Amino acid sequence: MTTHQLQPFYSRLGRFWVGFWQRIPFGFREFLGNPVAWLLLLLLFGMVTRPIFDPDLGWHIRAGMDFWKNHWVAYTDPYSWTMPNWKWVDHEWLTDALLAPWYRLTASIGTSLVYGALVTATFLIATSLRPTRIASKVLSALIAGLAGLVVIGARQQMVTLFGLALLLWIFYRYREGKIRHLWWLPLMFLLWANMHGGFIAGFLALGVIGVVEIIKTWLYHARQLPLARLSEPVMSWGQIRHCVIVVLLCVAATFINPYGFDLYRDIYLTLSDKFVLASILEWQKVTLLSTQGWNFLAYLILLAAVLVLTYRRIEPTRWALMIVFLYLALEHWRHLPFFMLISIGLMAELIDQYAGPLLDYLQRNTLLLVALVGAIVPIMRDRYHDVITRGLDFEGNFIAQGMPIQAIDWLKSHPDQIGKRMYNLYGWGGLIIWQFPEQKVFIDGRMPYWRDSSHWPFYDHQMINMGGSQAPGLLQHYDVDWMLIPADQPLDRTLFSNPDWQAVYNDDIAVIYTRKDVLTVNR
Amino acid sequence: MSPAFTGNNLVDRPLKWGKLIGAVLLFLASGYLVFALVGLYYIQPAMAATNFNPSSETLSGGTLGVSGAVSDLSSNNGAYRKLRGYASAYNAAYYTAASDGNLTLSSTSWVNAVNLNFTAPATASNFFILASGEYADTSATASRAAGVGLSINGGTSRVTEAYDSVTTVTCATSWVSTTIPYLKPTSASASETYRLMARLTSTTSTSGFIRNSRITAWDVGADAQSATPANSTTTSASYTNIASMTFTPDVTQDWLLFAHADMRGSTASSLNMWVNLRSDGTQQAEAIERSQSTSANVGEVPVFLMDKVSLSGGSSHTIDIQMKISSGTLTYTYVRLYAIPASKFGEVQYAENDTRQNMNGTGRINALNLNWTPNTQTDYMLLASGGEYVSAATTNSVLAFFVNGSTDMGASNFAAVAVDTTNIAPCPSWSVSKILNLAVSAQSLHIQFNGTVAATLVSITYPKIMAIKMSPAGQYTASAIYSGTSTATTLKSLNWQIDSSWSIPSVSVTLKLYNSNSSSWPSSGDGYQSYTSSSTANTDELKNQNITTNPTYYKNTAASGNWQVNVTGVVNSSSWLTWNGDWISFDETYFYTPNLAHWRWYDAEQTADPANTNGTDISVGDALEGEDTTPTSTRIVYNGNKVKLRVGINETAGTAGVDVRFRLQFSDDAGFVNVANVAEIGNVAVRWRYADGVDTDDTTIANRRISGTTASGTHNESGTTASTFDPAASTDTEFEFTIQDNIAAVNTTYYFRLYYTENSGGSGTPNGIVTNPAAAISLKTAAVYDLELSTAPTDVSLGDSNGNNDVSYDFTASEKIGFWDKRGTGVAYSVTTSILILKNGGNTIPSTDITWTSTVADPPDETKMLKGAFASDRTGTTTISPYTMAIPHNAYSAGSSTDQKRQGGFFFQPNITVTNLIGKATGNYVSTPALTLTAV
Repeated sequence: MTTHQLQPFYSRLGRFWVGFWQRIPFGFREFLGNPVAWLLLLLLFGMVTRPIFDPDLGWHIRAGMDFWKNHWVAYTDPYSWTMPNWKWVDHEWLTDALLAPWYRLTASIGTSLVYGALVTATFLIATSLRPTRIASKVLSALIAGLAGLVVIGARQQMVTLFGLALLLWIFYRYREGKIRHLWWLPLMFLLWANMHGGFIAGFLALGVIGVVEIIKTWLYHARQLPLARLSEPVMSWGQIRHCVIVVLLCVAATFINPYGFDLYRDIYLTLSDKFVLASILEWQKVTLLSTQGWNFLAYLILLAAVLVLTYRRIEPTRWALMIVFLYLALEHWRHLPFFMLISIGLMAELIDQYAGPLLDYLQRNTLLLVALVGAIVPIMRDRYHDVITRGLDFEGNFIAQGMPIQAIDWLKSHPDQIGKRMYNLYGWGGLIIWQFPEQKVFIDGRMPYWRDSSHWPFYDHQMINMGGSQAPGLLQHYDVDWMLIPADQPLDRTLFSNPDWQAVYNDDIAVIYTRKDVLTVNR
Repeated sequence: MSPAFTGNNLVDRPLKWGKLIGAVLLFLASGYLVFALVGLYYIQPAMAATNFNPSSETLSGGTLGVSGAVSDLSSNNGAYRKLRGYASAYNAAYYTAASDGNLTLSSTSWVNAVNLNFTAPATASNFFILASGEYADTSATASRAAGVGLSINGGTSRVTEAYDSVTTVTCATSWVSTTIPYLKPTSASASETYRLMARLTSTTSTSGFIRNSRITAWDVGADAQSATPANSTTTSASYTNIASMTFTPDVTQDWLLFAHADMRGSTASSLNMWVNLRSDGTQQAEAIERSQSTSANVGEVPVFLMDKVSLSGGSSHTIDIQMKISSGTLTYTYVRLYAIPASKFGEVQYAENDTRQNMNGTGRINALNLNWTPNTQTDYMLLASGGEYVSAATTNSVLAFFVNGSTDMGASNFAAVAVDTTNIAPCPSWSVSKILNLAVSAQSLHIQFNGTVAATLVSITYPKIMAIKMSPAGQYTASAIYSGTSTATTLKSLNWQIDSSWSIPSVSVTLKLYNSNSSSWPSSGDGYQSYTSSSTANTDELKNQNITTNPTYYKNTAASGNWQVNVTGVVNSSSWLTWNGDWISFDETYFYTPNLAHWRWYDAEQTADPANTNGTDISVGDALEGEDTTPTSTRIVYNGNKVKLRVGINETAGTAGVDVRFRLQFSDDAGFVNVANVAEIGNVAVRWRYADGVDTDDTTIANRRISGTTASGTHNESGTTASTFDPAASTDTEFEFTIQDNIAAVNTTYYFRLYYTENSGGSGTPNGIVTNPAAAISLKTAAVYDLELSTAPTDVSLGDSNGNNDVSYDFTASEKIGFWDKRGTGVAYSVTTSILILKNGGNTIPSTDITWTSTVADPPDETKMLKGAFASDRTGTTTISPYTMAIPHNAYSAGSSTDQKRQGGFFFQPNITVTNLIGKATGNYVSTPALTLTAV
């Protein structure tokens, strides 16, 4: 075959390729053709994909397994012996039900990857409120992801981050007339309410948006105020009416869950207990006592610098959202990523507007591309190595986190060495529920605010854990007959010399004590 | 769906210098990314803050929160968390005097009914006085009345006085009862005399009596509220404010209200006068009096009202007295209104019924009951009050106060009188008081009433009973436990400090820090501070204690470093105690905490500061590989060879080190199961030992090479000698180690780690293995320790003679010939070449026409003669017969040395000169000489 004869084939191939390329949506096509965006996206995904570290994930997986076993949720607490009659509301029952088979299929690595993908998608959506270059989006998403990393991981609240980002994206598009109606929003809230209790944040955002939008529309219609300087659309009364109806339907949809109104009651209890909020690190105020606090401060400085340099718009709705969610972020570590989601869209727009041409130039610069690869590859190597090695080494991962996985292994083979009513560290409860379902726990991450007239396990746990004279009385109050507690800590030292207790196991992380009268019976 | 309205500024106007701003934005964004990535993942963060503040509070005893929040304790800024103390002890003593028997009055001069004399305590006090009595006169004339007066340290001068004539125009037919409250500020140790006096306003056909005369005084401290308006008049027919006090209690608690007033109307016998006691606008008690004489100091009718109300803390409350008169003018005198915190007394029992109760008949019925059991047997002040009402002038009503059904505390009979059509038979207030010692058994107090004529309506209004334990608060305590979190890190020292003030001078304060190790609150020594607060109230005082002995015991390292502080203040006082907490701080200092950040190997034992580039096997003074990476070439890692290790050590605890010595340890497994110290110079038994570089141990390195380092540490050629170097806090410092492969095994990867000691390893000083969050330091030895011809050109063209007789050619750098001695034996070796005869088919150029010459001068050019890490000095290089290289660099042999320094490799770049070419056949002359290394 001669070169001349090949020409029609190449011509057809070329036409096919051009046609195929043009069928790809523009945004994705832009992304595919942009190696800088690829690299940054890879880095973002690598940074937000983290090894399993949340002990609460343990009880989530166990709850998911039990869902498939019982084909429905439990209405009273199946995992603790201290509060067996508590009306347990598993805010994340649906997420748990999805997570359990996924974990069984893909283990730790797959779990890390799916949450990493979810967070990556979340931040990309958050930077896409208005049209920008793909490089600007990914760069901003990476900044936001790093700033919020303290809370990000293989955790159920990532569902709420995703929901909030999606909600904002939908609202912006609706306000600009790119979406004609919101009738399917109630369906989203139906899912959200069954997947994570943080859907309340969605209503908070809608509330802030609603108030400001109504004022804007009223000012426009009733006061005839000019909109010459306003930098965001004003909704029509028709849109407002539609939104109100949809929001009401959304609220109604959230009641379609296995627990009905109790879902709200439980969320209120969670958020209103001052002792709990003060005692759990994630609910405490953001401080500069850690690197993550400084990281957040650096993000705020960056955002402030960008605003001072470039921001000349009047966007009341955006302002209100940023103020409310900044307050929430400063109040609780847990809410830190909310502010990233709210603010990063604006940063993406400003970076795109002013630095976009420069990004266009840089992404064509081979030298820069090589330098970028050189900088990112070692980081990515470390990150993925971390996820993979710790994902493969199940025990090693938990040992590295100071979790009593070896002690749990021992328990499984020595049931005659322990009693029936365990005392355990709060932070270990989730892992024990997951890995040692043979017995129920004293406390775990679901229970800080659970209490009745004579028991408040979390408060009592805090008191017991401090050691001291109050500990024996509290243990007696609960009739605890064995304990899985951290080694070489005050409680350990107290029990070591207590004639009523016998240490039956210890390693570098944990020690197991059993009451001697129980040991006598077992033998 | 109607479309949205859009503003016309949705697209920003371009800014001036837009491109520059864009570049700045990108720079800032990149800067943040670098900060976040490097800061979070590649540098161990320095301990940025070591001061922790409480996050939760547990109030002890009856301590109450007043204002502020726990967060106010986070900075020493005058924003307070205020706590209200509770009465923790009560005074057994009180001051009282009583004369229950009848005293006949026969004069218009004041006579003492009862005297109370005592000496006030050594501290200034505020005495709340209750004086009560029942009095009567025998005249039906209004102006001929009996009266009482209360004298406070003033002879016959009265602070209040009241009259009531027992006439048919008033309700009272026999005994008039009244109770007079009074608040008396008293100096320390003052001598006090209080007297209840009585007299007649006229002795004309009149005599009088007084009985159940009682005076009691308590010290209630500085916290009572009062309103005492001047005597005046009102003509208002609707309620008008006469006395009012508005205040904001700190905490929610019960208050006892006591009101007293004397009134007279402008017309005798025909006017009704009302008194109303209110709390925040709500009526609490009311009395209606009938006017008697219009004369001053004759016609004043007494009213006593009391109540107990709960007032919320933090909000304003108003207590007031209102009055009105049916017509004419109401003259009021000695109006007293007091609010006393119920907590001032050991116990207050109270009952009331604010609805009017009616009955017809003469049999007594209970109007109000108060039942309780005292905790201890002690004295109680029993108070009863109420208003009386009869519906017909022909009947009387009887009020009586009973204790446990038998003890008649006093009774007054009142005659009825029809006064007007709208307010039928209003009757005056009635009150009685008595101190009784009550046992620890069920107590039952009753107010009973009845009429004296069958089938005639009598009523009682606002009956109230109050039982006050006669033990005023004498000691107040405020106590709370504050909890916070910190770190799990082992502490070098701990400074805990509290800045606060107290509302009362000279409070005995104890501050305790919970010892988690012993599970106890210290009672002395570390974790315990006690002091007497300032003699000036509300003076901030900062108290701190620095703990250096086992400071880590004072937190729970298993629970977020939880710590607890107990603040307790106790003072003997009758006034409330308030603690104003400004700041609680738990300040940790840590031991010097080194963390290995980066490391790199260098071939530079004869260079003080190695170059920061990767070299080759035969280059010197440069790096073997990049940072944190095991060198891939192992040729130079052989017995006797020296290498340098540079490390960046980051101090992460914010604490400087003192005389820090680092010691290298090595192992042939990454887990350091079998680990040994790198041996000292001269050791022959350990695989790795320190070596002498060109520098001196414990002197500072001149130039840093490791990324991220900001301070220069020392050269280290020993693991045991004393160090004088003090690495700075929170600083990434670079150190250098020169070590030597002593007898390390071949083809083996060795792992190294650092062990540090402070104070040069003195007894009890901090020490430990340096944390290494990055890859372990590692170095692989050569595959075999042998003699090796390492580098030789495969093809060298000597050039074209161009018709000349001679050709001379200098080997280029790429054609150099290198040798390695990795044996570590110290034994010399020779290098020889075979006889070089160039051939062109049958034509030859004999070796006698070929001369090898070194290209380097003597002494040799060190850029071409190897030295340093993998070469040796040139001493001992000799000519090896019979041929071929010019001296002195055509061979190498090593002399004996314990330092084994003559090992390694070297290279040469010879010159080959070929002569006698004229006459030779034209063509390419080629030969392959053999190089031979021979141990000598």
